Amino acid sequence: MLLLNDDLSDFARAIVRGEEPSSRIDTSYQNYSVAIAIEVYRNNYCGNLYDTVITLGKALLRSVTSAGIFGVSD
Amino acid sequence: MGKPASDYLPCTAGIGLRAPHYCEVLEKLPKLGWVEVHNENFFGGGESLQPLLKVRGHYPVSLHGVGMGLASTAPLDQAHLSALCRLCDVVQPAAVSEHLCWNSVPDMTINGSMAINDLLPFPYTQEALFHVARRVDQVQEKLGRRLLVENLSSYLSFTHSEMSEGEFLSELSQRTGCAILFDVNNLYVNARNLGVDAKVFIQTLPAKAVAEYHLAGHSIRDGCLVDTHSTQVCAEVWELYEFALQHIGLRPTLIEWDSDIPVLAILKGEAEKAQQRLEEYHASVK
Repeated sequence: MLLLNDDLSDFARAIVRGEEPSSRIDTSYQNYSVAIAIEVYRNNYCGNLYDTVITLGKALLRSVTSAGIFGVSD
Repeated sequence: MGKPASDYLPCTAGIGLRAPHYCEVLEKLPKLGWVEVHNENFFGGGESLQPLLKVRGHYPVSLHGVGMGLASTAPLDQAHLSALCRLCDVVQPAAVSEHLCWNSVPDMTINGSMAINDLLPFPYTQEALFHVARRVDQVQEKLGRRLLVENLSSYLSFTHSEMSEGEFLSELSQRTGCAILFDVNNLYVNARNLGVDAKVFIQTLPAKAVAEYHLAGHSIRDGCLVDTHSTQVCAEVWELYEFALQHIGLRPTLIEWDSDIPVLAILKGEAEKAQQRLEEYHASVK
């Protein structure tokens, strides 16, 4: 697996949980905390609604299928 | 769709066309060089596509994506890519662009991927360059056309980056043949947030590879500049745009406005400011 994946996975968990990533973040210049940046990412406007709906839809479908309601599992 | 407008982006100013302005644009057909829309809003096809097809009959259209995740480590979403191909077949866009970012990682707990609806930064390493270049190749091969890749606005950077974003984009363009969509506001945000040297960034980009400029406004939260596309273009970004015109040259230029969207006249006014600068630069080099 890519080393890049370690950074991105860590970053993803931080955003989802609202925690600071353990990745090597360069704070030498920025005049705000990493926590503020993560909060911005958590709340940021991405420019369209479509992916949010699709993401929620996929998550819902996964939970339904894993529960066996449709008689299939992923 | 009737006879479409030209299939290339003119070296003029355009606007990001959003739903609140569809009716007014189609009714008044204002003088606009071209328009850009977000791909994903039209993937559903059907009725939602009709305004875009009508607009396409009058203006060149650029398709701008926010969901491909070129740097994601989860597999490239083939359904997303196929939807984009279908949209391109119908719309015949003058340009297709995406961001230099990631939005999903493999998620072993659900045997799939974990997606985050955002444009996220990554470390600019050789490994990442190889990874992103391979995915850009895949996208371009599937689309059968050149992709424009946009520099990212970022609120964090990584200590182990081995190159600047400008160097990364330059190398990516060289390896894949992709073009660069240079978002001037994104660069300004990164300059203020992360200390990126904006003029060095501009001088780093290979001018021939830059195919489009984006201009937008931002907001500030707790000292962090956030690329909200919610205000007019600030004076500093206009200055950087003028610097870019001198060092890179005339390119199609877009005004983006995605939240707190104003009346069309204000948006068009911003495009006219960009158009004025394009014409002034053009006159100065004649």
